[in-house]
Amino acid sequence: MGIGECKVAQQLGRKGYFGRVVLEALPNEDGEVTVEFDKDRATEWQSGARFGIDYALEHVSKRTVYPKGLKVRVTTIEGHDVDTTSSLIAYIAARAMFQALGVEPANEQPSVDFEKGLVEFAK
Amino acid sequence: MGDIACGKQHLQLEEFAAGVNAAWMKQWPELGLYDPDAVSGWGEAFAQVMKATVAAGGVVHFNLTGVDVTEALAGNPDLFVGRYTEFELQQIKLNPDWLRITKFYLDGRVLTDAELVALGIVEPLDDARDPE
Repeated sequence: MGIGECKVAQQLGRKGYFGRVVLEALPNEDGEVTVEFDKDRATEWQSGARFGIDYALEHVSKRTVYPKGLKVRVTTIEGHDVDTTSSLIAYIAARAMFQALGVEPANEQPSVDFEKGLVEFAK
Repeated sequence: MGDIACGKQHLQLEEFAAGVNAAWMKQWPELGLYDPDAVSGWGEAFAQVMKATVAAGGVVHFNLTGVDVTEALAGNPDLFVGRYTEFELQQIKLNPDWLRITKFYLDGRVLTDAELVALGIVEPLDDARDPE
């Protein structure tokens, strides 16, 4: 476990996609999973980030990856009023979470079709 | 209030805007300066904001704090993602109507024309005389 960071800065013609999430994953001895957001640097798009984190945790084995529980600290969420959406932040947070856990998901990772503006999360 | 404020958001843009009695970007949609549902990216949104500001007779207060002007002006003027303030500076420089209504600030004061020329934001006046 460690730090995960993911950034998207993509522009296709007039369409813009921007976001960055940094988070830290630590063992939580009481067996619970907790997620905290930095009060200064992770104030917006929290619901999107939370979805992405939960998605990532659903797609790894708790028994082998975080058997003692997990404490997730989201230290940074960066975005832009027009070029950032909750779904994009969810995608970015999921990838950051996988990186922090040091695992590849069992199924397909979330993906973004920048041409169509679609964010996809495999079941 | 028809004025708007531009600059680096994480460098107290909101406070800067309040100090010059201007609206900063978080206020622009509610003021109707751009329609978030009708734009696909910041480039379109910023153009809407500037056109509305010109039409309203407003002033753009641009805080250059934290902006590397030389690097900003050397960048691709069509690229806005990840370089929002730099893009806005370039767009204003490239549009005479927008440049005309813009005041530039650094370290809390308005820059002079000579300083703007030195920074490359404003072209020097051509005072060459035709040789007779």
